[in-house]
Amino acid sequence: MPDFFCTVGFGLDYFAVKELQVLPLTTLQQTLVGKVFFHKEGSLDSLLVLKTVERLFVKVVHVEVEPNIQDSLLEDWLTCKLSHTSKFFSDCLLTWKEIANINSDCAVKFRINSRLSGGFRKASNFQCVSSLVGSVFMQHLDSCVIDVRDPDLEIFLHLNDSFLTVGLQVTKKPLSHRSYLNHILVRSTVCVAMCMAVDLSSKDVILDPMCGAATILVEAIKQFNCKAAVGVDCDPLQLKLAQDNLSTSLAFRHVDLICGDSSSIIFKDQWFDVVLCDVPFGRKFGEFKEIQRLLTSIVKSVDIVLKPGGRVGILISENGNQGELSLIEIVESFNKLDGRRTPEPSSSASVAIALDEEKNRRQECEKVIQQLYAEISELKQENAVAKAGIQRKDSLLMQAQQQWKTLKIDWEQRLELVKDEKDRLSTTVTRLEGQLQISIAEARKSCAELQTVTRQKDEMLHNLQEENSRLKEKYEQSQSQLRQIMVEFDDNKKELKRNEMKMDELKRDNHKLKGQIEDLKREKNKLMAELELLQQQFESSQEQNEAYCRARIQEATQSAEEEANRRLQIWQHEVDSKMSHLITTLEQQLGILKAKSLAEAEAKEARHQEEVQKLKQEIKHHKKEHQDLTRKMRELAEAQWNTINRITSSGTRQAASSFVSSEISDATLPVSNGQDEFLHFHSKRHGPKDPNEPSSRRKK
Amino acid sequence: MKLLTHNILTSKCLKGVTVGYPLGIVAKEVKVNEVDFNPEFISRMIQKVDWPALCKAAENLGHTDELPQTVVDDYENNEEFLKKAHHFLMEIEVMNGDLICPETGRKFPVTDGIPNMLANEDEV
Repeated sequence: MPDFFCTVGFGLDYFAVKELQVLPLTTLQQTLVGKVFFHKEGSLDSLLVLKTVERLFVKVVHVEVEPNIQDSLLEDWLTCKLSHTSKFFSDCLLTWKEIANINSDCAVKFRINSRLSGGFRKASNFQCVSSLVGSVFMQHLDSCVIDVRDPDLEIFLHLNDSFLTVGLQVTKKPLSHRSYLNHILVRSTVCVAMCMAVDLSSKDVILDPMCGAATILVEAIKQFNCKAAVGVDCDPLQLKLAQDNLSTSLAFRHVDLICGDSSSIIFKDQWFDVVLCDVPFGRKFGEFKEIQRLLTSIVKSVDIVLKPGGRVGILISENGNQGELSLIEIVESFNKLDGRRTPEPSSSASVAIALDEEKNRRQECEKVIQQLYAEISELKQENAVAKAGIQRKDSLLMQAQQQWKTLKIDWEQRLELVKDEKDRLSTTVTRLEGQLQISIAEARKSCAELQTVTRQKDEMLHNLQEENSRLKEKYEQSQSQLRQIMVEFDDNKKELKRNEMKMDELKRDNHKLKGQIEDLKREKNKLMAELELLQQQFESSQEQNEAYCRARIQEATQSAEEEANRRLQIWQHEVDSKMSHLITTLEQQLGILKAKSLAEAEAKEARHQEEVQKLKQEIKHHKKEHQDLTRKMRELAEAQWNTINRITSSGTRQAASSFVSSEISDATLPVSNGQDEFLHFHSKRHGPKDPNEPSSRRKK
Repeated sequence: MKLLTHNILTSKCLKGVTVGYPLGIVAKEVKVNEVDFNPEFISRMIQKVDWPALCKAAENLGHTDELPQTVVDDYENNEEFLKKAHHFLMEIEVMNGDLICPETGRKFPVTDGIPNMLANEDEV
């Protein structure tokens, strides 16, 4: 784990050391003016809440400056020191990333902040040091980029006569920065130091008789967790600042402000545990007597309101010059008060109180002594620094003398060398003079050339001007053309607009037509549907018609058959009756003839026999006739049957027998079209020869 | 101004005033802030404050009979009492009004929570 150091305000290193001493696993290494060096193991979070330090750094380099170093050798020395220690640099960077809570992979923006003081404080040194540090550390800052404005990492370099210190600043803002304070009249670190000086605890009730912006009280509440405090100030403007600070820090829950005079007694006696006060030295109260009066009155009133065993912390100027009271004088004034108060019976002084006051006084003295110790340690350090400086000067002087002697011998040798050199140089000078004359002649030539060049240049200038004017004319022409074009362009624009309007109209028409087409389409679809309906109706009517015809034909065929049979029977009957009648008549005639005369009979028998034969022939003839007729009838019947069969098989609508002239009754069917029109369908059949021909179609 | 602060304010800076305690309160505006309750601190304050003066201040603000007239025994372990004392000492704040000297009747105005205890030169 690398080491750390922190910067502290002037005179606050005592408190910083005190704070660091109580941190676990912390080893103090060195305390210089304004810097405390220490080593820390374990968790580093406790470092971020140090209250009295300004800034915290990871230490990279801290070495003593060699006493005999000169400005010219500074660069080499620095390079040596920095490159020697820069191998620890990556370790330091890791620690820095850990404590600053920065992801180790991401690029770090950094800048270098150099501070030179003492003998090295020169602008030239400053530049040299900055660039040097940059070049040395850049080798180790692979993933880093320079950002002067808003860096994550600030590399701090401080070089004074005694030490070279380089560190990586841990937090962007100083640790002493308090986000909850808007108005800072006393530095937060000083406030904390004052609280530490009076050994403030959370139990204490505090009074600040000249609170100003109440920074001390806010620090006491925020850093020391105090529960109750009162701030007094006579200036309403200061109280406004104090109110603002209290509301930002939420300390208003514990602090009350009062507008009052610090020297007047407005509180109950012996009430406050702690009085903290920043006496406004040197600002408002310049006069020595004024300050003395103020301090005396403050001390007097503080003495009244402070409880026995209470503590007082007064911030005064560090040195007693310019008429300001020194710490010792204040302590003396306390002592005087004590001395005055002890015999006073009115203040209900008991032995216990006296003892308490004595304790109080001693605590004050201890505090003062501690502060003095701190000052002494500072002075000692300064002394040591000064002593080191003097030693360095002595050694420098010795060195200078030795160098002087060697230089003298050196110079003598050099003088001779220089004389030789001078001779050599004088010959060179004469040679150079000759060269110079040649050069002068050349120069003159060049002058003449220059003049011709100038003339040429003038001519060219003239030409250029002419060309320029020509170009100008062209430019004007082109501008007028441009104007024309613009006008045309405007016209075109207008026309375009008109065309667009027309286009819009056409579009609208188109749209309308489309609508009409749609309507027509719809109508067409409707008509198609109707047509289909009609076809269906037509088919159904056809079927009906067909069925009807078939029935009729069958009927007609049947009736015709029956009729034919009947007639045949009648015919047969007639023929039979005629035949029987003829036979009977003939038999009767025969009998009569027999009776008349047998003789005749015998004579006549032959005749008769002839006649019989004749008659028999006749019968035969009749029979033949009968057979013919029967055959004919059968043929007719067969032909009719065949016709009927043919009609049926060919699927014609109408049929009729050969001998039946039938009229098929009208087949009247309602047929509708779009205009609600009815068609009448009628067919007639005449004979078997045209069975397929529909007879007629007419409107009803 | 909290009643804890009122409990320690006096007007004895005025000429002719010997005790100047407790100051009367005429409140025009009172605010209540929520403050974390710390029983130890309140116990210690109860030891220190002038209890009758606190009761009177509470009465002046219209909280009659809300606080017992005397500090109860064993108050350190009486959380209800401690919370009541905490409320009156720390949470109630007089924002605007006057503090009145019991002897001279001189008014000290309270503006925006800040009492003005400055006395004129002729009053001191």
